[in-house]
Amino acid sequence: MKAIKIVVADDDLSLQNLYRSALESRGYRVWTACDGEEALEIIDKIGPDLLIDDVMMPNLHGLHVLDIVKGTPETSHIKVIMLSALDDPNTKEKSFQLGADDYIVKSQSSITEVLDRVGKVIG
Amino acid sequence: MAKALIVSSDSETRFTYEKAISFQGFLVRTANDIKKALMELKKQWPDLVVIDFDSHASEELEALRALKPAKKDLPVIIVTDLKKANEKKQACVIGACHYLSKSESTLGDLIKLARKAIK
Repeated sequence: MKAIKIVVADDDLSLQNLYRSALESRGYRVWTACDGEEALEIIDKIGPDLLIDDVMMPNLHGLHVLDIVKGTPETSHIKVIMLSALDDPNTKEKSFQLGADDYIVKSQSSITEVLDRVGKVIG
Repeated sequence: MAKALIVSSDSETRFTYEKAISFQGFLVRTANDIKKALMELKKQWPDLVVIDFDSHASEELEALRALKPAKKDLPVIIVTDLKKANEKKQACVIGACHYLSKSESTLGDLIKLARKAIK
């Protein structure tokens, strides 16, 4: 069976590594990006199944990355889970308006919960 | 490869539009004001121009008016929050114009319009 490809975009390297290890332990293939610009480059190159997209990132805000991915016909099928440090209802609403498939507040979700949400989104 | 020129005085907007449009396969050049855009246009005609237009740019835009007869069909997307029709008209000095409201549109709307404009 073909492994699911996931891009994790977050400028927090420790969180990036944590997500990478956890996702790889579930059999997913993982690529990481430190900012929005790098995330788009990787997406263009590998065509992932899922993007885990931090809202606050340098070099292209996470919401802009979401907007570009969902607004491009060739990548609009890619599932996107938004990650945020803050439980801000406006950002959450905007994310879903732009086509996000889920929205996770970092401080309110354990890594096990994140993995469960990834499983649900991928289906 | 289709070529696009993006004009905005705001570096963040310029960068964001550049990434959104280049992700569609366009070769993108940028200019931070209309005078620089004019120089870029003289070097090589793009297939699409995107202008992030604010009222301060109106005088500089006059400089582009001279080019209108040379490239009547050039698609130009104006992203603006100008409300008045005559200001919008002033913004559209070259090519075939399309408008997007800066506050109400998404990058997805810009992408859709850009792809449609060069078909």
